[in-house]
Amino acid sequence: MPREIALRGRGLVPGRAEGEALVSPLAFGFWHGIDPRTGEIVDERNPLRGRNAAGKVLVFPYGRGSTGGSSVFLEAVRCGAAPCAIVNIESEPIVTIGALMAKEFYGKQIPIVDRLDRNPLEVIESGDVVLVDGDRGEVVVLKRR
Amino acid sequence: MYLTKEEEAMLDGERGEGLAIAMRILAKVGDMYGAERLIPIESAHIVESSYQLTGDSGIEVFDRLIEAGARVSVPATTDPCAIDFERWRELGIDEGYAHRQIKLARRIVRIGCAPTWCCTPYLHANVPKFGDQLAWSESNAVAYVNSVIGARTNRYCAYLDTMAAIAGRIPEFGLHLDENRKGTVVVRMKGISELRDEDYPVLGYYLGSELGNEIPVIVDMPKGANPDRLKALGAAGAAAGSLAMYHIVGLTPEARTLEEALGGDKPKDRLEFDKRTLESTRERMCSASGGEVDLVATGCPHASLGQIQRLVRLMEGRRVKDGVEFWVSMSKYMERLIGEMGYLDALTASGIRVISDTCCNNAPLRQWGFKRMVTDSGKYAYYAPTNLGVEVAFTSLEGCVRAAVEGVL
Repeated sequence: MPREIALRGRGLVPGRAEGEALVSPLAFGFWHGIDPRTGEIVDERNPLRGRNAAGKVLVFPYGRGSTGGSSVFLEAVRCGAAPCAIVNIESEPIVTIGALMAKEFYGKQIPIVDRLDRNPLEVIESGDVVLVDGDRGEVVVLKRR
Repeated sequence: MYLTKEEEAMLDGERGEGLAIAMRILAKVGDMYGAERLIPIESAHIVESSYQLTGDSGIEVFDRLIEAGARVSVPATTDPCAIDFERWRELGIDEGYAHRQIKLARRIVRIGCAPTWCCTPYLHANVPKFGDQLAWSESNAVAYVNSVIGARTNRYCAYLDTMAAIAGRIPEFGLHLDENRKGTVVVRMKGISELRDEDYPVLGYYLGSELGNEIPVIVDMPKGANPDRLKALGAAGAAAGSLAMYHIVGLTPEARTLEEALGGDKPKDRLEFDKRTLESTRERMCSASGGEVDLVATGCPHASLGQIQRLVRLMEGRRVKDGVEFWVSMSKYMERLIGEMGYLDALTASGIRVISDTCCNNAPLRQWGFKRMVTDSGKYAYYAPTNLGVEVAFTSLEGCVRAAVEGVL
């Protein structure tokens, strides 16, 4: 039986999604961070470089870098290459606006939860299956091992 | 978040669908970040002008906003695009790509934004004053107007900036409020009696990469900071991290004293910035150590008149070596000025290519196949490895000129 860990936090963007976790130990920016057409991570400084974020639950501590990130995120949504959910320690507008725009302009829900009761980077590893509930601010982690 | 009757009406679509879209996004942002109300803004600066950022979703968003009758209600300036509107062919940019960028730009102007295509609106076209509430994106501009001018904006981002410009309002949270503008970490300059132009981006890069979202208070700053230097500091800090505001005691307007900058609170941390930190940070900014150079680039953020004058002087009697591209980026407005002053001809005659409306961060330039770039910009140093696939050497403007003339590092 996989070990199940439930985390509680702040639901910023509503919706529910489940997917495989992709965990960036570093703060992440979408501009020059992801190829919006494919979902491939292209940030030269990130250990996830070359991995694909499309349909994954993308976990990273904070947003960083250029303020154009939200438009890159929306383009990834249009191309069907966006993550299915995002979990952060703290989400700044650069991260959340792309998801709000996705709902308003493309009718797609990409839940975002932050401020969890445990550090998500210490609990979630790439490959775990994660359920993100943006309505209730909950994250359930099914440990791969 | 509390909404006035007028704002409720806007949200409900009574003032048109364009305003309703903007209000839906702003109301959600206000609720997310715990704002109590919306406040009026003096201006906006928007970043979704670059097709490289938005792709076709940018065109689709603005099509829907135009269809919904949206218009900006405050002055709104625009960030660089992905092409130079006059030189995209000579930059080797694909025609279909250029036309999609032109489509995006036309739509942005159609809702009432000014076609500045420039990342330093605070130097001309959109100059805030102390205490102004703003909704600006473009990370270098956010750092500059908060820190140097004392205007107030969070690090906004693509689309939220336009929604705020349409509604003329922004939720009041974060750096709009006094209590969140206090310095949180003290950075003391130790044994540093002088900082040269090229040291300011290094200091910014250090603050950005070490401090995350903290607001640094710099103490014992050597004299000599000027707008160009502070622009470079903020740009590097905002690229390497999330620097949205810094104080420099005795220089920036909300830091006449250390006590004022800290607002009566105790700092979370106290750091020292000495010559060793300066040198180790400079090393981190460079991935190239030697060899032939094929691109030299300056003007990130967009070059000011003073920077262009210096470059013209440094290039007097010298020429860019064959096989090396030396690019300086600026706004079209600046290009027109220096055209009338004779500087544009002087730069072109020395082998320099002027690029306006865009820059090396925003234009698709992989087709040039550049391998090694020399720059005096901390922001270029951060982004060029990803955008252009180059090794980078960070140096002074003098170092850039030397590398361009000699063709080697």
